[in-house]
Amino acid sequence: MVSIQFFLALAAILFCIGLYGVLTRRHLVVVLICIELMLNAVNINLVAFSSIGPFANITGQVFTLFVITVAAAEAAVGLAILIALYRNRASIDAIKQDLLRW
Amino acid sequence: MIPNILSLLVFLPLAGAIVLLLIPRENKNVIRSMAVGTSLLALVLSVAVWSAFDRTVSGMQMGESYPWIDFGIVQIDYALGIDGLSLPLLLLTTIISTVAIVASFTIRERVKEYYVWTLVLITGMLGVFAALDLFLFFLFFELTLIPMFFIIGIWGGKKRSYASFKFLLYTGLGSAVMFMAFIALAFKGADAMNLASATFNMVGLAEAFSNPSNSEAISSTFKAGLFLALLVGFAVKLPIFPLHTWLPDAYAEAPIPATMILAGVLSKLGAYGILRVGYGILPDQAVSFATLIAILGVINIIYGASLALVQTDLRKLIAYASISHMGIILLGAASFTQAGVQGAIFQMVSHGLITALLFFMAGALYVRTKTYTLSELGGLAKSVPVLTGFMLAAALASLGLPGMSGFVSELLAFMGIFGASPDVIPQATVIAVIGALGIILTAAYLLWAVQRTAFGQMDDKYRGLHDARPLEYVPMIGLLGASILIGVFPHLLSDVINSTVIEFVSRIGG
Amino acid sequence: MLQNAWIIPFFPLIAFIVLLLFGKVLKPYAPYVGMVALGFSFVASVVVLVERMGTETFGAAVEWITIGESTVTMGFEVTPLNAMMLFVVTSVSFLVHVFSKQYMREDDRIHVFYAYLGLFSFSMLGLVLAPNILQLFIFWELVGLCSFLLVGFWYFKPEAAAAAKKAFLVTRIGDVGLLIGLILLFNATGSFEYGAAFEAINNGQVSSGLVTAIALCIFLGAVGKSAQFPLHVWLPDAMEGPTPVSALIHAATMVAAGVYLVAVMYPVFQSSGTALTVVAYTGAVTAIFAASIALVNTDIKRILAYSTVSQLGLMMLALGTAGYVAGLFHLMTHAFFKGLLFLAAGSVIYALHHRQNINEMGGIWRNMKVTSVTFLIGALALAGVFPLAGFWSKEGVLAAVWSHGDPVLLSIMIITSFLTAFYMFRLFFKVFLGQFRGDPEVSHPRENTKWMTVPLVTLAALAVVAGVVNSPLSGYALEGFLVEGLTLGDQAHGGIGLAALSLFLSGAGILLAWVKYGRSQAVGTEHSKGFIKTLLVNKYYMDELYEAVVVTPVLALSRVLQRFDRFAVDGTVNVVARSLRSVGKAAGKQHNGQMQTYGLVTIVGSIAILVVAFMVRGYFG
Repeated sequence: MVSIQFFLALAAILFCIGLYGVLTRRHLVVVLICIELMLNAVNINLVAFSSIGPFANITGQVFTLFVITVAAAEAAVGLAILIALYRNRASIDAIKQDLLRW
Repeated sequence: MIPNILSLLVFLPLAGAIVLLLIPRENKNVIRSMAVGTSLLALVLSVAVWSAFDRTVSGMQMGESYPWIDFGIVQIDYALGIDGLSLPLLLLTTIISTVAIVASFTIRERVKEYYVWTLVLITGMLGVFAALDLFLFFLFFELTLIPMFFIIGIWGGKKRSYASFKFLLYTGLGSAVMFMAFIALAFKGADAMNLASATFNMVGLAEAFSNPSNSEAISSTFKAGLFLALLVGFAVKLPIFPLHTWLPDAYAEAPIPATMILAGVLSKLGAYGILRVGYGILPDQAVSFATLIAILGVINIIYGASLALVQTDLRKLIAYASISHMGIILLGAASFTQAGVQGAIFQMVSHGLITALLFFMAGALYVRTKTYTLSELGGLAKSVPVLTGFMLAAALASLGLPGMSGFVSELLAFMGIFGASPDVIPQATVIAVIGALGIILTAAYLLWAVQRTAFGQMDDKYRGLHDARPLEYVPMIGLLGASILIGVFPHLLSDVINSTVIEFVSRIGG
Repeated sequence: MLQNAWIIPFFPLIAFIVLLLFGKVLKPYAPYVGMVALGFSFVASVVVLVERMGTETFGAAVEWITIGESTVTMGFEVTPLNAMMLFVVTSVSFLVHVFSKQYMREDDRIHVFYAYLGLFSFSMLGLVLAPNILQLFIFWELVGLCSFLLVGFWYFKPEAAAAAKKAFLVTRIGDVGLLIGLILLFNATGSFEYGAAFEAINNGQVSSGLVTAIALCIFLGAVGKSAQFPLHVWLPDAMEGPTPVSALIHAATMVAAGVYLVAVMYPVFQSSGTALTVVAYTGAVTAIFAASIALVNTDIKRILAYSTVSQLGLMMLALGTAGYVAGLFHLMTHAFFKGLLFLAAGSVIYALHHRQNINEMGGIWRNMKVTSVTFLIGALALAGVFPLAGFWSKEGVLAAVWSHGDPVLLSIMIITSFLTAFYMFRLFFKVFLGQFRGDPEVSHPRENTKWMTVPLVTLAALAVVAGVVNSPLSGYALEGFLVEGLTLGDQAHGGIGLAALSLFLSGAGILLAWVKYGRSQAVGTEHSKGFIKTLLVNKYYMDELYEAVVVTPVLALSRVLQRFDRFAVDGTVNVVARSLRSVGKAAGKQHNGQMQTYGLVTIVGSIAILVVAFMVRGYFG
């Protein structure tokens, strides 16, 4: 039986890699992929607690399925936004997107 | 008697505004007549309220009260009611609103929006004077702010954006201070009365705070702080020196009909608030700050008058004159005598009528001469004798000529301050005499202004100006007539006020 | 009729309203509207006066305002004093209405003129009928307004506009005093009504210091209205108004209101010796001060104006030295002969096409007989020559001062009498005798029409006979009438000795004027250029003094306050606003629009919050 700490450590590492990518990569497609990484880190946590957590039950796995669905939708919407962005501004470089500036 | 007549009166203009929204913006004439009709209906309703008012009762009448919001820890009622203090101001509001809306025929752009905002503003003003719940009072108080901000900002003069933001931020800040004081009043009052939830009911709070058995629950230092916070909050609106500098900008930049409302009614919200909330709920603190208020009043009188003396712009001159006249309200109110308090109420009404008229005349001259600069005017009595005649009449009313309302209010206010008990104001006579000097300055700057506009040689470019038009007679005769009516038969007004004043002063004295 | 005496002021009020509303249509008939109204008032006043002689004082009042528990009323009252005043005011006013028809004929705004005259007559009559001091004050201000309107009637002349403003402002200073006085009176006695207030004072309810303060405040009002020193500066300038106005308002009626006020409030003044002394000295100083300026002035109307100031001073002097009847008697006779003098001067000015400099007149006697004779009668009356009205009334004043016994006041009185005769006859000789020295265009002025001469003759007749009513010939009838209901000391009467002294002074003055101006037919220029002359020509530099002491400092202070307002008060506001705005700007710079930066900040912030929360909760041990 593998202890839960390993799963949590794996998820944390995966999450940090994703986070790092989100915060540093300039290519927005890579940023999107990194967000997927972070979601998957969450998934690992959910599944781990679902099977060997202190209150193990099926809810965690159900949530994982939800997350995967939402992630798929999110990838679709995100890519659509990226295409729209590219059409408008001829670039999907994160540094050049400063529409949030006040 | 119509049930819930006060609610009807207060929300009638709002209803009118909603109906206006449904009319296409191209139908300017329909919009104008709808707006005039709504304000006239409000005027008729307020006259009905006036005639149904029981002059012998000193407390609140025509009350309406329904539970409105219940947060558990806070209970807010929808409560309206009037007494001798608020009724004259209600009527003043409907009169000024009606003539201001009639006078709005000079507005030619974005007509629909303009009237919608004006009608919303009227509901706000009426609501403040009728509200008996502090929270409701505050809501209506703020409701006057937003429309005025847009009216100045959209239809104002050259510096309109500066003026409107200054107005909004300044008065908004005042409201913030005031609202904090309201909340403190509500919760402390609930503590003192051992209530489970805080109440904003003014009548209840007045009892809670003036009941001596609650003096342990609420320390007098705390009450003094509350009173000062209220004073500061309302002082911005009145305005009291040194919180007045938004006023000349706002008065000078707002379109003339809005200035009439601003000077005629909105400045009275501050004075009304001091009397209703400050004096009504914290009478003892009001007495202990009487000297301060009287001194502030005298400073307002002299300071406003001195500045009016050196203005070169007709509207700014009237604006500073307005500050000066607000001082008389403070003087009368500070005296805590029957004559003084009555004088303060008279002055609110009188100043509303007269200043609105003065601004209207300034606007009517501007429409013809395209200038407010005094040095560019002159000799207009030759080309527009009727307008300058009314201008002179307005100036005379403003400087307190007997036979017009300004005299009665000055007389009463000074009778009050000269008769103030030495326990309330130690050096009342000195303060009163200095204030009386303001009367001379008032005459000086007003006659100077009239002389510069109406008398002397006329510039050739002003030859053949069109004298008063039929529509312009409505505000002129309406406002001047009301002022003369009060001046010649002041008992028409004093009868309504009197029992409230007696009760008011006895509460403070007793 | 006594019960209906309130109707007297309302005739002119109706004329005012009619002319205000329909003036343009009625323009050619405006004088008749005014005359008819005043005619009714005059008849009613005569009836009231006659009736009042036989009955008691009548008064009635209605509620005006309720102030808390006290009620203030307005109404009217017919006392001997105001019955007399009604007669004086309506008679002079009626004659001025008649006179103006010709005088103002060419003016395009004649209907406005008559409207203002109507309003003035209404206000003046209302002032006289008032049964309480508040009502008096209300009408007091209204007559001031009418004075403002009529002085500034030719508003397009800058001098007229300035004079109107000056008249209003200077009297306003006095009015504030009066307002304070009446408020103090009310607060001390609980009533504005004359009777009730006097009773409270006589009962000793009011401390003597307060009585003095009240009396002095009220007197300040009289000083302003009656152009007493030092608030006299407005009256000479007020001569910018049309001459009939000067006759009615600034000679006969309104300026006498100050004297009337002191007379009405006499019980208050009697209760304070200080106040009476102040009244007497103010009157005396004014009398000699104004008379001395009149010696050198060259404007026919201004000489008469300074003369008016001086004579009003004499009335105050009489009241201040317990000569209650003498002061009022002089008020009445003065109204007639000074009204006459002004109207006659107006007749001359009209004939000379509005020229007023006496150095450019002369020899008018030959061309304008009626005007000249009536002017001479007026001048003789003013100089106090037997048996004209002025002789009797001036002798009354002299007797009051004599029996009062203050040598300073007495010598001032004597010098003033002499100066009065001198300047009046200087004026008369220079205008009516000798050769015409003015513009050749008008060298043959013609006598005016009956519209002008009839009022002159009527007033001349009054100036001759009015003195009889308070002379030994009628057994001091006026005195018996006026003192009714008052507690006055014995009213002093002059004997033969005082009469001789008075006549001697008048004669000496006239003789000196003859020697200097009449005999030699001296041409306009007066030679001496001494210090005193310069001082007098410049009216003791009073206008300059006010300019330097009051006007300039007030304006300077206002400008300083203006700067203070803009830079200190509003400056603070703007600095607060600007600093808040720059804080915002600085914070705004941090928002560079990079979502990755935002994300980083969000993460770091969340972690920081978690850490803090854990530390606070103690999870880190």
